[in-house]
Amino acid sequence: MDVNPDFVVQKKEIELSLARTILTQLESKAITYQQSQEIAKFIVLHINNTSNTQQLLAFLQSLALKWNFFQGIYDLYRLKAGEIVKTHKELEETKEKLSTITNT
Amino acid sequence: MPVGSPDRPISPAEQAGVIRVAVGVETGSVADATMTDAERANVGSFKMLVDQQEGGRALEVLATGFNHATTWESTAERQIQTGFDATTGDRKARSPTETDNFRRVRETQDVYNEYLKSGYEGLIDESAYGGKSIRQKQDMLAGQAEDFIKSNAAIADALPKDWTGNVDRYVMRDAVERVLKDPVFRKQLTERLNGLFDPASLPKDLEAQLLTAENKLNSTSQEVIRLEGLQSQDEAEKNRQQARKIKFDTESYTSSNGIVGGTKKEVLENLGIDSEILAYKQAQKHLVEVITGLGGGRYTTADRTAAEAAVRTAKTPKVEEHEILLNESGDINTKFKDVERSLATTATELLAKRGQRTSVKTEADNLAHQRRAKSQEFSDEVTGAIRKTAQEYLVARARKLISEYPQYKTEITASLKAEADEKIKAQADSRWIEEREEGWLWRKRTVYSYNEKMTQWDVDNVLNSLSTQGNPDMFVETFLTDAGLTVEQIAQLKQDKGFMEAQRSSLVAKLLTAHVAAGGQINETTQSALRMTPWGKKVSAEWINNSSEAKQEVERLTGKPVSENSLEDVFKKKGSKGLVAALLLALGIAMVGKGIF
Repeated sequence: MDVNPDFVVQKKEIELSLARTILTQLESKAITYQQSQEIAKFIVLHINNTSNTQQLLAFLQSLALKWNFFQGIYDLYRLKAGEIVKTHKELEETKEKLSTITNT
Repeated sequence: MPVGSPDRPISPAEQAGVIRVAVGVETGSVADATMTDAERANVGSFKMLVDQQEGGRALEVLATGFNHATTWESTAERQIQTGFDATTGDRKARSPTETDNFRRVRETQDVYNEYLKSGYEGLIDESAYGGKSIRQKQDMLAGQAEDFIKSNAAIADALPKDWTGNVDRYVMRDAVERVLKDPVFRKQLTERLNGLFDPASLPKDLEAQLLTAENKLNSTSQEVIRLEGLQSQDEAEKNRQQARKIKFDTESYTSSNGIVGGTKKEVLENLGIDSEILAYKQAQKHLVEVITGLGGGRYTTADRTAAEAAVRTAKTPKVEEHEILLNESGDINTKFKDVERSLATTATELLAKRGQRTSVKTEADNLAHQRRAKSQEFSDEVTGAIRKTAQEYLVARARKLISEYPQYKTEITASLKAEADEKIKAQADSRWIEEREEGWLWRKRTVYSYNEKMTQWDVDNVLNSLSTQGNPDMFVETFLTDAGLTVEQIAQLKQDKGFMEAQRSSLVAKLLTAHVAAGGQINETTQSALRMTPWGKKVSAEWINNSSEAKQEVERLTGKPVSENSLEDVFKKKGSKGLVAALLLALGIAMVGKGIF
């Protein structure tokens, strides 16, 4: 399955944001090293299975439910995802229209 | 030979040292004393990757808990080894990330190598950096390390050619700090660093602080000068005032006395007049006498010469200064006068404005007074108009009634006039005027159209009127007249006693009902008046209490059962408006129905 390149970029950005968040929590001693490992394992395990926006959103939501300091990332991406979905939808609609025109 | 090149491979010990330092570099910022070294290393590695924008890899490192040393070792070794072409010894092209890593490795490695070469010992003299925060110290040390590296030719040769010379302070700071914990190194590094101490590495804001302090000093100095200047001005003013005083006093004295006696001299001196100035004045005065011959003396040319010389002699520097001040004081006097004139003008204007304000206030008061007077006048006027109109109408009506009932001329006139006057007196207000029904008309209206203006007195009076033996039909006739009936028609209707009575009782009932509903009361007077009516006489407590029809009507209207005596009580009771009104209504109906009349 071809993965949208934009999604790949988005996913990398998300990974970086998640890593930074863990680091911040570590440095502020909000979590222990063991907890950070646990979190990282969870992320690595699940994020690699996401291949589209909806799956990534679902993962982020589950992550935020487990550790609420990820809520910000989830909210931000959800906001952006709306735009992405819309853009994607618009693209699809445009494609459809174009195909209609070209096929007539 | 650059370390790490094929000819200068990094030794295991050095590599271990690099790793050890690198561990400190990478984990130095993670403040968690409870972490093990391995954990700390892992976190450090994790952080490093985050800094390198490698979020995914960072998470993997953290998740798997890679031993940092292993990771770093591999990376370092790879970086070092791949940094040079095994065949040519030339540096290979590296990615920016690799370059950055390599640089970090090399920097720490170089410092450590220097340490190894120098064999530094001892501790750093903390007093050199006393009072500074750890961060500041670290920055200073990083700066010194940078200079240290730059100043060391061997290290400089070992540096990559593309090295920009900007030491990653994060790297160096922690590296140096970690290394500084080695007592041997510290002692030896102390000397080097102290020697390389650069004042430029002082906190940047210190420069700003100095500038601020200097500016403050300058401004303070200027302030002092300004104050001194003011003081000078103040002194000058005092001198001018003194000069004026001297001038006045001297002139006053010299105009009245030509000779300065001991007593007067003492007085003058007590006034603060300087003796030098006084002597000068005296010399001047004498010269004037010599020139003019005033004073009665006869003076020669020689006398004049001597007098002129005496004036010149007496004109000491103090006197000259005094003269200057006097001249200035003359100007000042003029200026004062100008100011006084200005003040006087202003004062006059102020007074004028004040007076104007007063006059305005007075005018406002006058207007208010006039308004009050007018309102009173208006009130009187209105009252007069009411009275006049009422009287005119009253007269007209009286004439009409009298023409119809000549036998009642006296009663009609007296009654209507009295009542009209009374009403006018009590009700002379704008509402009455708006009604446009004065005196008799208003009175009439209340009979068949209750309004809120009606008072208890009115009700009582109506009933009293009804009870008057002479003209019980009067109100009915009025009602019929206003209804548009002619005198002839009314006369015919009056023949029908039943009709007249019915109308009267209906009107009374409506009147009383409305009166009670509006909060009025059925008092003793009302009751008495009611009972004195031809039909009222027949209304007794017994009838009220025993009238089944009345009871039924009241019960129907109020929805409440009525006891045998309750009607009477209700009738007398004050406050039960609804019930009393219902009773009155029932009473009226019952009266008509029973044909009491």
